[in-house]
Amino acid sequence: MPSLLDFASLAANDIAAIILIGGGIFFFFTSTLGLLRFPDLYSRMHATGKGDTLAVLLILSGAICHHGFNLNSAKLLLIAVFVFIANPTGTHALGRAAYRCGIKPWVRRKTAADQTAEEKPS
Amino acid sequence: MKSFFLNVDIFLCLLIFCCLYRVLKGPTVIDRMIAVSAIGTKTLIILILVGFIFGRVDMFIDISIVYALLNFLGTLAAAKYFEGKGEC
Repeated sequence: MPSLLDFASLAANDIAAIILIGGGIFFFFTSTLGLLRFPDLYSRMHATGKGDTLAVLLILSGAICHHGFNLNSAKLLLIAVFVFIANPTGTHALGRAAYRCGIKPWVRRKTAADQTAEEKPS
Repeated sequence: MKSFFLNVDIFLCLLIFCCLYRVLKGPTVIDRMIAVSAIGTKTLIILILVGFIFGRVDMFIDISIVYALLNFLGTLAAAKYFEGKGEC
């Protein structure tokens, strides 16, 4: 009976790890899709800066669930906290550098309806 | 569980090759820097999962910490350089 309980707890452990890592993989996929498909530097930065951070947090949480709580999981938590602080900081620094270099943000092209709305304000 | 980690590693390698497209074709230098930073983040995760596959997590976590630090410092140094240069 104790062995059955141990097996059940181990399985729940691994199921939680699989769910968390699957969520992280999903966010990595969406951030890469945004990096490839978005039209502008700032929107690409927006996609990777947030999606990668959340994906790293989810996957490291899944690794902690799989590994159990000891010194190695404390180091994993250290990596998670460091990435949570450092990745948005690096993205912000790159965005400020791009803005000071004079790169214009992408705007929607004006359609005919917009021009008529500008000419005749209601 | 090891085969699951292996599949996740293979998928992340495919995503890294997708990011390499942006590194090669980025219109500005900042685009390339963003893509390199995203590749570094994915490599950090790959290192930890490879440690789980090989059963040597204690060693691979230390390598991963160093990789995260180097990625962050490289991004900050490049951002400061391009900000001071004034063009990119």
